[in-house]
Amino acid sequence: MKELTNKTVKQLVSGLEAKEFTCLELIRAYIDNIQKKDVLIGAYLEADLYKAEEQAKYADLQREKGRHTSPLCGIPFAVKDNICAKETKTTCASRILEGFTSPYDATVISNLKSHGMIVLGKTNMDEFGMGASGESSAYKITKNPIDTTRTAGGSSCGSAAAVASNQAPFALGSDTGGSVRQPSSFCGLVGIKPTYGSISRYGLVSFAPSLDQIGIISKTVEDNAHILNEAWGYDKKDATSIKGERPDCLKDIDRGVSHMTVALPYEIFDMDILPEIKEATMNTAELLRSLGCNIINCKLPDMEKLTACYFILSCAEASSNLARYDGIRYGNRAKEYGSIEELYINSRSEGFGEEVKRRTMLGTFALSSGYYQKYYISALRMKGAIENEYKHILKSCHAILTPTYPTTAFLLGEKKTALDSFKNDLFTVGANLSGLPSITLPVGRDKNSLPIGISLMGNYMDEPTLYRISNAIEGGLS
Amino acid sequence: MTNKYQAVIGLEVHVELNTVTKIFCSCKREFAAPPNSHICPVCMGLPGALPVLNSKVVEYAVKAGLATNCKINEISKHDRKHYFYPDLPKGYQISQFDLPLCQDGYITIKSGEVDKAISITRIHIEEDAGKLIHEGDNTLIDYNRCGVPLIEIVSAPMLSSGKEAKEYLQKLRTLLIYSGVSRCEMNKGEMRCDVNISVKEKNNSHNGVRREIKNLNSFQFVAKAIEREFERQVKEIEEGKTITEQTLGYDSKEDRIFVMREKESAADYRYLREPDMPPIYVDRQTVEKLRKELPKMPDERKRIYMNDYSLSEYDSETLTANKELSDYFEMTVKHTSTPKLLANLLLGEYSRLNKTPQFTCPIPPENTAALCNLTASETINSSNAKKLALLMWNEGCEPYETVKRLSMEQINDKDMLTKIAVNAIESSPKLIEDYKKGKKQASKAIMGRAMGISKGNANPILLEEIIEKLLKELTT
Repeated sequence: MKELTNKTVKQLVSGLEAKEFTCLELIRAYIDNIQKKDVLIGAYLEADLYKAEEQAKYADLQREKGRHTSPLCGIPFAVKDNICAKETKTTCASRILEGFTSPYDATVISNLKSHGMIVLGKTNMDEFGMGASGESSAYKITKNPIDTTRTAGGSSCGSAAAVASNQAPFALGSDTGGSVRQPSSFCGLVGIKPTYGSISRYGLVSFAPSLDQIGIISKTVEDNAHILNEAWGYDKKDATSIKGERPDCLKDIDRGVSHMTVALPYEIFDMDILPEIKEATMNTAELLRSLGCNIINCKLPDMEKLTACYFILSCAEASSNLARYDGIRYGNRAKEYGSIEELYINSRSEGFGEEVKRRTMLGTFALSSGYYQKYYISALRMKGAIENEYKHILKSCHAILTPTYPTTAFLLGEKKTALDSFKNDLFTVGANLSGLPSITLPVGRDKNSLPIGISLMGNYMDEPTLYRISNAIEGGLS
Repeated sequence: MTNKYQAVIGLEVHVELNTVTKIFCSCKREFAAPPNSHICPVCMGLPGALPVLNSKVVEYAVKAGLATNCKINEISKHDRKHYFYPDLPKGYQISQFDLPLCQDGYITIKSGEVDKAISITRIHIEEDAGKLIHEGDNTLIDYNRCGVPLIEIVSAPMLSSGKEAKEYLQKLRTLLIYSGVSRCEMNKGEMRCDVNISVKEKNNSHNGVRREIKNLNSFQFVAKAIEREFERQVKEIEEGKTITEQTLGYDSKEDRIFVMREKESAADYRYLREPDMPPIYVDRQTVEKLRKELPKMPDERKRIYMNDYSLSEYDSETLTANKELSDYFEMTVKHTSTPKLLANLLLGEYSRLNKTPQFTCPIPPENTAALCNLTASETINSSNAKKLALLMWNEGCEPYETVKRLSMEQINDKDMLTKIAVNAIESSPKLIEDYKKGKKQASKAIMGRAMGISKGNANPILLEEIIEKLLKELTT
C-alpha cells in the first residue's frame, strides 16, 4: 500500500473504481505519510485526521452501495488556510485569527465535498498570502520537500509542499500575484491560476479581491484540468463569479499543438533571470515547435509598470480587507487596553506580522486623501491598460510562454527586501491584473536539481487551450 | 439683530428602504427583533464572506430618485468608506462615493406663500451599521441592523430656516411614502436627519463656516435645533468670535445645542472602489419600467383636485400630504358627484375617527360615496350624516339599509315640518312667554324641541324658517 500516495488523482480514481483499495486505506496511507513526514516538512497547520477517516468510511459505504455520484468520491485534498471549511480552524497563518473557526464552507469546498471528496487539513502559508517564501507565517516554516534547506515558495507554501511530499494528491491554493504558480514551480508541480471569476471566491479570505483567485496545485496537467472542471462554477454568493457554462478543460487535452501559435517574448533573454531557466524556456519553445506549434515573438507590457501597479492595488485592497480584524468579534483581542482605540491598536499590533503591517501601512497611505489620485486611481487605470495589452497580444496567439519565476527555490532565511520580492513577481502578476488564466508546469531542473517551471498565459476562459499545450509539453518531456 | 443674518442649511437624510431582506445578504430586515437574530457571515463581515447586491435596493433607490426628479446614472458603483467602530463589522461601510445612483434632482416646498424648489445633490445607496447598547460598564452589540439598506439623500444648501427644513422633510417623506420605498417611521429610525448649517450676513455672497448637527429623529427637533444653532452662531458673530467647525448634538429636553466634538481636520475615509462587486448598471428601459410603477405624485394630484374637483388649495394640500387618505379620496370620488362634500367628510369626520398614524379606513369607498350622495340629495341631514358615518366606521353598517332601518331620512315636506313646529310651540307655553317678552333665544330652544319631535330627521334649515315664521305670527 505504501506507493498509494505516489499516485496521481487519475490513478487513484481508477484504483478506487477497480476496488484495488478502499477510500479508508487511501486516507490511512495519507495520514501515515502526514504523521511521518510533516514534522520535517511543515506543510500542514492543522489536519483533522479523525474526521477524514470518518468521511472515508462513509465514502466507502457509498461506493459499496453504488450510491456515489462522482468518480472523485473518496479522493482527499489539502486546503490553504485562507479558504474556509466548516467547523475547521481558518487562521490565514496569522495570530490575529488564532482560534477562529469558520461556521461555513467556502463554495469551492462545498462543491468538492458534494463529490464525496475529503479535506485532509489546512496548509501553511505566508500570513494572509503576503510573501513569496512562506516565512511570514506566524506559526511555522514550510520546507521544500526537494531540498529542505530551501523554501517551498509562497504564499501557498504548505499546499505545494503537501503535494510534492505525497501528503496530498492535490491541493487548493490562492493566487493574488503568483501565490499558486511560484510555489508550484519551486516544488516541481502543475499549478493554475484560472480566469478571474471561474472558481467562486466565497469563503476565500480576501487579500486583494480584484486580484485574488483560488487555484489548483497538482502533480499532472490532467489532474489539474479534472479538478478545475469540478471546482469551476457560477456562484450567486460571489458577485464577481462568471455566469454561464464553464469550458470543458479535459475535452481537448490530448489533441496536441499542431498548427497552434505560442508567443515567446524574446526580451526575457535580456532579463536578469537564472540562465538555466532561460535555457529551459527556450527548450520548451523548441519542443513545442517540434510538435508542430508556431512560435512567435511578442512584446510584454512594461514590467516595471506591472509590478508597481500590482504593488499599489494589492496593498490598498489589503489595508481595506484587514480592517475587520479589530479584536471585537473574533480572533485575537489584546489582554490589556484602556480604551476602544487601545483595544484596536494593541490587538492589531500583536496580531499582525511585519510583512502584513508593512503592506497595510503602504495601502493606507496610497488611499489617503492627497495621494489617492496619484497612486490608487492611477493604478486602477493602469490595470485596465495592462488587461488590454495582454488581450491584444493574445489576439495573435493561443498562449504566451514565459518563465514562471526568475529563480528556482531559494534558501530559507535568505534576506530579501520587500521590493525585490515584488520585482520577482514580474511574470506572474500580469495574469492577476488582467484576470486571464495562467498555468505553470515543470520543464526541467537547474544545476542544484531544483525544479524549473514555465508559465503559459491564455485568453479569457480559455483554460482548455492552456491544458492542451501543457499536456503536450508534459508528454513531450517524459 | 438676527434680521441682519441668514442661515444657510443643507440636509443629509438617511432613509431605511422597505425591502424584505438586507442589502448584501438574505437576512431579514426586521425592527426590534431579538438581538443578533438576523445575522449571517456576510452582514457580520466574517473572513471570506462576500456581499451580493439585493436588486430590490436599486429599484427602490431609483424610484426615490424619480420621485425627487433626479437623473438616474446608467453606471454607478460601490465604494468602501473606512473607519473603525465596534458597530461596523468590516471596518468599512459599503456606500457610494463619486458615482452615486441618482443625482441632480429637486423637490418643491411651500415657503410662505410661494413655492420654492430645493435641489437634491445626490441620492446614494449604502448599508446601515449595528447598534451599541451600553449596560453599566459593559457595551453589548446588536448586529441585526448591519446591512439594512439605506438611501442617503443630500440636499443643496438652499434652506434658510428651521421652518423650511421641516417643510422640506415633510415633503420628502410624503414623496418617499408615495413611491413605496420606505414607511419613513421616525420612531423606528427609518428616517434620520443630519443638518449642515452656516450663517452669513444677508448681502454677503460667501457662506460662513459649516457646522453639523447630528442624529435628529423628529422634524420638530430639526426645526428647533436649527433655530437654536442659528441664534448661537449669530451671538458668536456679534461677539466678534470666529466660527469654528463643530459637530453638534441637540438636547431636545432642554431645547439646547451641545458640542460633540471640534473638528481638527476633515476625516479621511480612504475610499476604495468595492472590488467584491461589479458596477451597478441601470438601463433606460428599467428606469422607464420603474417610472411606470410609481403612483401619481402629490403635486400632480393637488393640481387635479384644484382644477377638476374645485377643491381649495388647503384641502388639496392636506389630502395629498397623506397618501392613504389621497388614495381613498381617489377611489371614492369616482362614485360621487360631490368631491367637496367628500373632502370635508375625509378631512373632518373620517380624520377624527382614524386612529392610525397613516389613514386606514374600514369603510368600502362605494359606501362612503353613498354617504356623500345621501347628504347631497338632502336625504339625510348633517347631524344624521355624522351619526351614520360613525355607525359605518365602527359597526360596518351599510348606508342605505341603515337610513331605512333607523328612519333617518330627512323630512323635507313643508306640511309635515309645519305640524312638527306647531306641536313644538304648543307644548312650550313657558318658552312662548319668554319669546314674547323679547327673549329671542327662546326660539333656539323651540327649534331643539322640534328637532327632538322629528327624531332628528327634520331638514334643519326649512324647520328653522317655519318656526321663525310661526313665532313672528304669534307676536303680531
